[in-house]
Amino acid sequence: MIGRLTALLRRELWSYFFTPLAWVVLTLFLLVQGYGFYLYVELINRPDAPHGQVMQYFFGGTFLYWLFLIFIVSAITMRLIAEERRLGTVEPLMTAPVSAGEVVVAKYLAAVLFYGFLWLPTLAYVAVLAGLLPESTVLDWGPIAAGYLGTLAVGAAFISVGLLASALCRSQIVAAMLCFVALSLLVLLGALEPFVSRPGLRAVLAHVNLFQHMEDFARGIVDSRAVVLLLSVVVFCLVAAARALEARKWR
Amino acid sequence: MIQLDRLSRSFAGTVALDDVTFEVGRGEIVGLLGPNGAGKTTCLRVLTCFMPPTSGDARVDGLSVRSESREVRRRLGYLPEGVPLYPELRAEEQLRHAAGLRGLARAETRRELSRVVELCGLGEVRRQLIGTLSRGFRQRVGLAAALLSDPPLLVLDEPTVGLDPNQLREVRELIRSLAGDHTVLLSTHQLREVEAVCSRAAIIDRGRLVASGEVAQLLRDGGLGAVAAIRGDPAKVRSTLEAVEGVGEVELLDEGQPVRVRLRGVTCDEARERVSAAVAGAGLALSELRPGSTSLEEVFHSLTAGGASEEEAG
Repeated sequence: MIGRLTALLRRELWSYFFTPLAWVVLTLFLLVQGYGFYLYVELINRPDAPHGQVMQYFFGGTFLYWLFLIFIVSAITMRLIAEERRLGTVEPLMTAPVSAGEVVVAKYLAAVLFYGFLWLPTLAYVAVLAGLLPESTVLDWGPIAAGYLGTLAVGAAFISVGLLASALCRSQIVAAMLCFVALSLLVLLGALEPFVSRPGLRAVLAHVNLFQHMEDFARGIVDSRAVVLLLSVVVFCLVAAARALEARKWR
Repeated sequence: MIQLDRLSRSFAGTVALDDVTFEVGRGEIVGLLGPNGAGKTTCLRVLTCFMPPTSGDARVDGLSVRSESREVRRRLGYLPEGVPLYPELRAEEQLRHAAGLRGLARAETRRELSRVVELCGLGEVRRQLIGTLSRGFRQRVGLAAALLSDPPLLVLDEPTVGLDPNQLREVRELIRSLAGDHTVLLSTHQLREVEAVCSRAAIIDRGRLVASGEVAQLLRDGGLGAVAAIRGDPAKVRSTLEAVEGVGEVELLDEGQPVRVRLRGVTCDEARERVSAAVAGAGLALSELRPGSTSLEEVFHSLTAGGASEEEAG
């Protein structure tokens, strides 16, 4: 089983780093993140600056973070299964002695690893901050670590949604659009909270409020409820994707 | 090795495979013949567990594709129609990936890789990207992938499409050399291919099995026998040929000179010596003797009572 997973994972990672899409995504990602980081540093330096730290804005503090996250995840997940269908490689894949679950898990892990790789260079911003700070102040590492953890957790959940979208579509473009819309709705769901009067529903909406959860992460609060929520999204989507792959290969 | 038991498969109301019962023995090379759209690919896809049957069952080594699909898949190497491969991988990496999926360990993979590369003549392209390979090489990479880990059953969907005559001969020789240790089920729409490599054949048309058996038998059952052109008196030609052992009906096709007749119930190869001896003995001159059916279309026509199969053959 480990051997088969490794073989699947290696192929996926190879395809990520071979195709130009990955490098385009990486470049755009760093461009936007770098610009965002510059803006937050400038903002914090103004005399009338709001309360908070740079990395707190960097992680989930603005809509820029969410929009770009959704875009990136749609781009890196759209081809995962749709591409296998288009090329017809789903046929040798599913007639090899591997299960749909193994295929889905390997593809998921590859996408999460690539996502992690995208964020890796942003550690340089942290290094810049640490280097620029005057002697008297120390960087608060807790919120930064929690911010990265939250970003990874939210990304991992988003990627599972993208993978499911890719399993449901034959066309990559349709998969990307489906993923983009589903993730946008997921993110905006929490924003409904103030407009709902029923207390039960309010509580549910508060529970799925990703804005709030990410703000907590960025302030250094790792809430187990948020982790459980994101983890259940992952489990649900991966199981559904495996079922879809199993059922739809027959069409 | 393979048992198809009343196998049917439909897609949203369209019946692609209709109540097919057929067996392939261990070590046989069997050809699945039929025009495009006859249900060949569907049949192979059900057998390789890519899609489940709508009703009936298929067994490989006694294992059902319904309930023991993984075990079935472990025993077969499959070359799907159109040879789907990853264009961004090198030939070698594609094969290593396929070996990994089959669960081969590192040392085994290395051994198997050099074996199939050698067997399929891929030495010169092993470092080349699949996307840049010619059709013939892609076909051979697909074949090499199916041969990895030396599975006892090989299922090949149109294995020689896109090959040039030299490659065609090499691949056919390769398939022939697999007989004995391996069971091979291949699909094709070329009768010559079946004659060249298969011991037996099954003919399907519009999802139904219309004939199966040894290739010579099929040609005979095709009812098209042999066609002869003989100089001499038509009545004498007829009576001479009717007396030849094995010849059933003699049908006069053309009474001009030479007289053209169709001999039913025999194949050209079987009848050649007896017919030429009888014709010479009767003082007639044999100017031509050829198989009555040289193409699948002709056998097909005769087996399916003509017509309908051609509409789908397109």
